[in-house]
Amino acid sequence: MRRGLGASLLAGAAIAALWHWYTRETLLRGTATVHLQSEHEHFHLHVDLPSAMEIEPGDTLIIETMPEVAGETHGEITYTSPVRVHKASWLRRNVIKRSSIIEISELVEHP
Amino acid sequence: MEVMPDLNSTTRHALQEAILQPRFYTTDFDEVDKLRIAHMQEEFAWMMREFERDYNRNHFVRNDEFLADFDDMPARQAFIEFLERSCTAEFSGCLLYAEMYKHLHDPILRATFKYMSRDEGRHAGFLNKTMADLNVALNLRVLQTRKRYTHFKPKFIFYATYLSEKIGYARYITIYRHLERNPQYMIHPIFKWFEQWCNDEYRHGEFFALLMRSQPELLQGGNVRWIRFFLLAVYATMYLNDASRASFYAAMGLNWRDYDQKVIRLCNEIVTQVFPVSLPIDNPQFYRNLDACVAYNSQIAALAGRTDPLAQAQKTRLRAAIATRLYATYQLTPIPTTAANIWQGLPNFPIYRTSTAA
Repeated sequence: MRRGLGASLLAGAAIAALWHWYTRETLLRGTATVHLQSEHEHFHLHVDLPSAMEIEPGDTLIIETMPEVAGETHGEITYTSPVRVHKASWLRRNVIKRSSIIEISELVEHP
Repeated sequence: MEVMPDLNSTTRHALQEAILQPRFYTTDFDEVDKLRIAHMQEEFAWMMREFERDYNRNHFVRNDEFLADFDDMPARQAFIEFLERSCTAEFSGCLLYAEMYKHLHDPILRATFKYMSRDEGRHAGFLNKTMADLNVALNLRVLQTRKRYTHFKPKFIFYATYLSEKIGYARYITIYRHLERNPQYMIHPIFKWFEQWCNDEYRHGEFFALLMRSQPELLQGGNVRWIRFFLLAVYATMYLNDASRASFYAAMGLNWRDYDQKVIRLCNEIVTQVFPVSLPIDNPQFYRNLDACVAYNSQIAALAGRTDPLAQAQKTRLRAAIATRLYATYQLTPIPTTAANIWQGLPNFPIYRTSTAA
């Protein structure tokens, strides 16, 4: 009985540790160059990150500033913005790398 | 919400916010960068020059037809959703190709990806403006956060993107030809632009076909199983999605099932240009299975909103039934590509000829 309880507690602790590892993020800050065009001729938003900020699977990128444009940009706007990259843990990165095939419908869906 | 500057001022519809949920992908760019294309350099250079020509540079110019009143157009909301999905797909493609351009070193591949990104961004802009006509505003703030970068192996990107471009061509040209024969169903002028527009999709697919031909191992051995998997994934995804959008196709005078089967047939013919196999779509079991999946999927949709254990169990059972049917479809014997059935190309579409053949 006591051994069973101990094993359960150990398993619970292991799962909690794994979850903590999985969800842990490292925050990187930097400044990026943003190229934005939103109009009839073209619509794109490209971000040139500093070389030390490589995006990997599971990461989240946040562009901190966006210009106030009333629907259209009237040509391409290029500006610098502070950016944050929330780096996924090694575990999350590898889980995403090895499981993305299940999200294949995203890649194959076409209007 | 943003105020769009030149909306159709007569619209009775309230300002709506576009739902744009682009996908953000990463891949092993170093692996792509290691691809050797020197043995087909001339053909890749020819392809790059084709993109450089920019055949559709002046195509996406709006005319007065876009200024009409679309308040009472048939299937207006379904049409807006179509525009949102299209804009999302084009914008996502624009980002993916731009990332390739940024990470690769081969000047021909870099330039080609840059041109393809240009095309996708151009399509996205055209769709974006059409949404604005319908009083649908795009909130750029949704693009501030790029969440959950997904990763696909380079070969998966090549198979899937090739198929996405080719099936995109097949979809657009099938709609265009149908509306050309039945102009009474032209619910919006944007469809008149589809003929030349879809040539961009076809040309992008040609590039991926060339890329795969240059790496023969992608088309042999165990990879043939991946090719069959992606073919089925693309066809089944489209079939299930379109079944749930039947009213949109009906507004254009199309039966979604007939339309999808035409599109799948055309795409299945085109893929023989590069794939060693195509799917056995004339095997009666093929559509019997896909139709069963549609029926299961509609039963799942009918259970939407129910969270009780019985409903959950039913949904699980139905999803398992879909998976079983898809696996059975995957197991059908594929059609080998032979000299008799290989795709000969589109009439009047530029094709590469070697200097010795010219």
